Amino acid sequence: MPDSPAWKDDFPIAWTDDHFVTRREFTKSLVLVSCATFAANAAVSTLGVLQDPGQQAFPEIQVANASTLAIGGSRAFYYPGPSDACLLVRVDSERFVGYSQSCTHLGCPVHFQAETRKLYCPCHEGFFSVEDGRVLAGPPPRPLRRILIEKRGDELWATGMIG
Amino acid sequence: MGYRDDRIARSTPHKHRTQQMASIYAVMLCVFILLFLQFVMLTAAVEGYFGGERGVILPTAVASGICCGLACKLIGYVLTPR
Repeated sequence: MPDSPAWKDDFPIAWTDDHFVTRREFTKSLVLVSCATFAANAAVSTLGVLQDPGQQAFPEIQVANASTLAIGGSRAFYYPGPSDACLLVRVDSERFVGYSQSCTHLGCPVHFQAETRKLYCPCHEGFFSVEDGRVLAGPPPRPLRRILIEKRGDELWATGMIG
Repeated sequence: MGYRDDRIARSTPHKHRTQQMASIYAVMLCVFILLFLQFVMLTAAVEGYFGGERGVILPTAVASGICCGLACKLIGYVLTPR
């Protein structure tokens, strides 16, 4: 009668050695994941440097006519790209402000509430000041991105972005 | 060979193996910690990228590279035959 079963001759790897190799391989795969994570971080970093808004030139786009917007009224427009929704608000007779409509919390569109004179995000009850776009209440971590609005005669032009 | 010498002769490979196992577990733990830090930094970088806080992106990439280098150094320590 043989000392060991036949399968041990076919697979002559001891249980402890088998686990030893597996641990080593597992650690190697962890290092591969580490390299992949670094590559992803470097890719994000490269994208961030390439798309630095400080170096970005913004177009000048006519967004509305001042006479067509009542005091306390608002109008949606797109700036700088055709898919970047923004909001133009007439604060008083001579003052027009523009903000990105994307909430800085999770990107829901914000709306202007004329009665409270606040910009309101209905998704998570975020409130922004219409004066400068700062956060008044709710979870948004940053102010709204501001659009530079210039009045040229009766025409209102978007000329740049801040934030 | 007496009983004591015989015991030492039999226990030395076992002891060596136990030390090897301990070092591999230590390396594995360190790599885990480094990987966790890298995930935190990747999350911060992505959040900074989408949130417009570009100032955090480059430092996180540098720190992630340092962690990756350390992990490679540690795995080299484990894989080098001794």
